[in-house]
Amino acid sequence: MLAGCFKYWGLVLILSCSPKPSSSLTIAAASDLTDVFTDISKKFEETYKARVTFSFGSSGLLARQIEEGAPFDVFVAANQGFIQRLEKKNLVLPGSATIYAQGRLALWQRKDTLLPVKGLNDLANPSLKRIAIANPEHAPYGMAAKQALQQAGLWESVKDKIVFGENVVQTLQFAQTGNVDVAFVALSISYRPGGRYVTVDAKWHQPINQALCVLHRSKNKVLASQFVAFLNGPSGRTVMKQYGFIVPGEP
Amino acid sequence: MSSVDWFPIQLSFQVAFIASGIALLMGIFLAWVLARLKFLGKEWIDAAITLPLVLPPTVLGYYLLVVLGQRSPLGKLFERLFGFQLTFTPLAAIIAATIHALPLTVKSVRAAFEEVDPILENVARTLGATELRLFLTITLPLSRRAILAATVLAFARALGDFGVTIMIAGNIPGKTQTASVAIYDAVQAGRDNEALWLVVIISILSVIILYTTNKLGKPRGI
Amino acid sequence: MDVSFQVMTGITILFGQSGSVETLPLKMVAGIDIRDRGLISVNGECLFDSKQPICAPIRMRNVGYVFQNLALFPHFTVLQNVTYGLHRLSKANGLKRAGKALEDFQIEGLADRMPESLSGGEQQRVALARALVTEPRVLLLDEPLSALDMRTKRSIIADLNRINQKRQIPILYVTHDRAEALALGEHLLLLEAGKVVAEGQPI
Repeated sequence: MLAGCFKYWGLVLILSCSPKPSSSLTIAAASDLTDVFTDISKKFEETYKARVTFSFGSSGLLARQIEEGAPFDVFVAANQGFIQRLEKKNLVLPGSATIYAQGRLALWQRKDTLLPVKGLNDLANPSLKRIAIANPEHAPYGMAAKQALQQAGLWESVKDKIVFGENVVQTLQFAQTGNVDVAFVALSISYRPGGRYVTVDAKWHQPINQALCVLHRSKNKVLASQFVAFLNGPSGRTVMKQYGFIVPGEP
Repeated sequence: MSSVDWFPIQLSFQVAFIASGIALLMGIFLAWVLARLKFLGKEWIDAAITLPLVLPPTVLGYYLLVVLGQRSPLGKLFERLFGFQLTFTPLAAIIAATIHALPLTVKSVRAAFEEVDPILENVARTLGATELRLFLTITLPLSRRAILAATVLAFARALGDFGVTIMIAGNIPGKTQTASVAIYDAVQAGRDNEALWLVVIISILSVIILYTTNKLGKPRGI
Repeated sequence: MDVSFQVMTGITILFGQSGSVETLPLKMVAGIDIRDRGLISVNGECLFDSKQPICAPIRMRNVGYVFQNLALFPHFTVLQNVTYGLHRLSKANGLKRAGKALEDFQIEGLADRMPESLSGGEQQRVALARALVTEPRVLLLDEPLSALDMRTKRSIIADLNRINQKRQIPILYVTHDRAEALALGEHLLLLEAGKVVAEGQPI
């Protein structure tokens, strides 16, 4: 019987590491950029006949993995802090760190909500029981949300209603599943179906500077730089603007 | 169905088969050592093996990332010996899965070995059996049922690993993205249909495997 | 435990009133129980000597042991049980020897049966065949008949006496049953509180 078991498992292939073909890129990016970057990379792949693979995750984890040797070519973080951390450790290709856009904050609710919110002030409504924001400790959109509430003088009155999500996507999911009444999320993911959203004016918070860099360890530096240039070029910018980002040089 | 990427499913099953196989072999060896040999510090070793079950996956993943990563002595040694880096490869996913499957196999099999009547073992010895022959012809066959159960548990655990896998193997689609990571990724990206397909396929395949393995373990005539 | 005795060929009964103390000499001869002081020697070959020290592992002692609880391997057939000790022989030779042993105990027909399907008497015969097929230098029997009915007991006692005539090896037989002692014993050792208190022929 044991012999049977081993034969049964004998149909297993051992995977080995195969070298990457040179016309492909592996990009580590923050989860909230899933929608916009998937779009941009499709256009890039057509133009440059290259393959782009994304590893979406939380910027913190990705940064840590990069420090421990993860084989990425480009790192697109949700804020500058992570890029700076990597620069200090000499993991960044000098001169490649740039701010490619500024993120926008939005208030997201389910389409069928009974308490539609039109602006920050509506959050003080006592019927609104729970508000989700990304954890301000490490999520830039969470920090911005907290800043906005503080600036608008609402923090003290609403802070007991606040629920933290680990990142903006999880924060969105809290609202999508009806567990909170409203969520502060990145505008770039507010377009997901099933909801309604209101953009939060950028004046309420510090700019959410989204930065990226090419990694020193990359074996595809040329292609990586081309991707960065593409992102900052007209095609890339068009898509970024479609998703509500503010691009450098344009208000 | 054409929108389903089969790579994560394939990878997950391959990783789970290999990991549970390793966990089974190592588990049988360690179970024998713990059940049959007398030495100091036995229960410390047992505790160390069980630790991965108790540690939060992110903690374990963090330790492994540092200990096996490119900057660590172990990581550097591996790279020197084999020519490639250990972390962020399917091999790392196998390690992540094995490290959680191992405590399950060791515990089940050790209990089974300890249940084998010592009188039977003494009989075998009086009939001239060496410890190895005794192990292969008496102890092991009489523990068959438990070993099978342990394998099933190990396989299930290996298949479902997420936290440690995503830390040390990473979420690199087409290379190290296992099914559980792919499902998470799809959910994060709002690709709910894809997530659902993956969940359904994995569930069906798992049920088939578990059912078949359980059937193999039934005594004749039942 | 403080015993010192010489065992000759033939059946020696270890007889006592209490529980498991009488089994200790058997376990010590087999090597299952090892004490600090003592000397065990069979046919001039030393199996255990605390002074030297010498201590042969169980598997090298070539003793046949029939445990009180039979201890047939539940996952092997009768034939597989009996041939277990013959793994050093070629398959053909092993089967031949096993076949003869089964004949000796009139159980050839049971070769392919599983232990759990056998009666108490049949199981006991298999255990005896298994212990004797390796041609041990001494046979150790721990209350082998205690769970059997009168008729089966008598039948097996007859077999044992027959075996005893055929093979000239010492047989150590532990029992609390007077009738068994009288039916089998050529020599008798009376044990009480861990000491041999009497020795001789049963009357």
